Amino acid sequence: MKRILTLAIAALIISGCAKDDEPTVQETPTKSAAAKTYDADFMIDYFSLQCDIVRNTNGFLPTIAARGYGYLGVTAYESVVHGIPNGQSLAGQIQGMSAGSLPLPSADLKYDWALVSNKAMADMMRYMFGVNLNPDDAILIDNMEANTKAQLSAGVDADVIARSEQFGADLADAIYQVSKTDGGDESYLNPWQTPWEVPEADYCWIPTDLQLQPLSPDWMNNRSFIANIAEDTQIGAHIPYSSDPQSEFYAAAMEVYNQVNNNTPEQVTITEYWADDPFQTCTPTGHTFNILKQLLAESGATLEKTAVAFGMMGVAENDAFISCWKSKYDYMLIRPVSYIQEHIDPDFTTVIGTPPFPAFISGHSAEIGAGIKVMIDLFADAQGNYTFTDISQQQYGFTPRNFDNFYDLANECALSRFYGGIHFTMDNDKGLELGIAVGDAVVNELTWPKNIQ
Amino acid sequence: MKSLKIFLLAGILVASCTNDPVEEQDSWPVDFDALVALNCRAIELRKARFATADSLRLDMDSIKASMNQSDFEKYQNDFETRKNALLSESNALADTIRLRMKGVMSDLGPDRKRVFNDSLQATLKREGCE
Repeated sequence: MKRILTLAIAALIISGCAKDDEPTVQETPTKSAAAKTYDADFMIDYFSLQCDIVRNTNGFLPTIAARGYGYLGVTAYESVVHGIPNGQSLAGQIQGMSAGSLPLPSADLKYDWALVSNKAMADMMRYMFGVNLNPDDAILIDNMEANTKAQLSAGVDADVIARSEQFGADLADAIYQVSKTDGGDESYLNPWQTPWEVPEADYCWIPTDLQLQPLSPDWMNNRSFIANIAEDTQIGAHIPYSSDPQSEFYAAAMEVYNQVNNNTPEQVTITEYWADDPFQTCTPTGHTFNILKQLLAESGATLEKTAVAFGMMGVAENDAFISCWKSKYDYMLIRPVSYIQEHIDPDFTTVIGTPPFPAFISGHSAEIGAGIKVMIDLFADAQGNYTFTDISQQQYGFTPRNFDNFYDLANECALSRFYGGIHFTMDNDKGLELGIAVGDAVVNELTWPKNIQ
Repeated sequence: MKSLKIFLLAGILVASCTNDPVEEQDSWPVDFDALVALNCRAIELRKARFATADSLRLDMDSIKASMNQSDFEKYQNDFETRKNALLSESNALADTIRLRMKGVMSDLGPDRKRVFNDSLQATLKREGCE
């Protein structure tokens, strides 16, 4: 009797200590093969298709695209996590997705994780592009889903196929329901978030081309995946604005002016390489995902590591943009081109077009800073050393670029915006700082599977 | 005599190390010439995309000043048509290049990838595609 009482008290203490929002750790259903036994080519192909469709779809500008990639990454991860030993769902770890809010597989039934993923990712792409999805692109998704299913279904029992697909569909639907309350739902319909009154002051952003409204001015209010990430990763103010030729701000603008007018051919190449490309970009987030895809394919990552990588990168990119956009609209800082034309040289032109939103901080720098922290965690040593050749832009007519360290890659991406005349140096330095802080939070504050293949 | 032999041997070694680092094209697991041609066209299209974008960006003020609203809208429509034609060819070509590169790169280690890319770029440069 005493033992029973002791056990009961212990149970009460343990249950009392458990958090309300404890993350879900689901034992891999024993009848299902582990995620690491599956090839990941199909999942990488979905992210290639995502890039193509982002490029073709109205309203998928950098903020909106980052969110789309974010939810697709989370879906990739959640569709496979129950096939990873000790894998921990993001439900209960990220905002808007409480523990138990996502469907769970039955422990005594068999699932095929690749088929789960195939269904979940196809559905999530349809959800994310929504009513702006072009009919031709809808067919591409349908075809990819059908062809992948045909390949993956060989030798799989019909009941396993049906169960896996149903689980994938339920999962995508549950994640989509989460996404609908984050503030960015259907933002592709009004990416400029009009009506929005552009503030007027000497230091303030003004239009740099035909686009008169800046992009996504309320994006900072979207719910991030990681709680308080935007507030926690802010990096403080820029150099005080001044039009005084003796001021530090004027010097920062002169630095841009002199750089653009003295760029070497290599610096122009770097500018265009990371731009990413007029008309054809799948946004900075897409470029970073393209690099990740290459790294995964070249390293022979299985479905296990590939899903984890896309999940981590999805969270990182989505949250980097929210935090970056907070800085942009907290400060509303004028772009170098506008300042230089007003105070230094009215005929000044940049190497590439200036995007329609404020300068401080650089979006490219923030997103690549977050991105490389994920890549370092997955592929490199603590110093970021990793030898690879970025061929992700070769398909668009760019020369591949060699790197031996992920920090070098991030610095080059950030510098490209300075060479191009798009950003002040401080935008890039602070942007990298913010992005790296976001990436650190993704890697360290969320629990991801370890020792993955 | 012995020192002469050593000198000659050293000379042969140095000469063998200073050969053109570009590997024979036949050694790569891909139709190298076809890949060069595809990349050359992709470079041409990239230049055309940047030029088209610049034509609108850099001349916007003069274009707007010299046209009434109706003409400007027509100009924009023409611009979109040119842009879409460029995009259509660029996207199709990008898919082809991506798939071929995927096949090559999956078979090579990091060092060999660099040698392959250096070889490809050297060939493109020789053929005037930069």
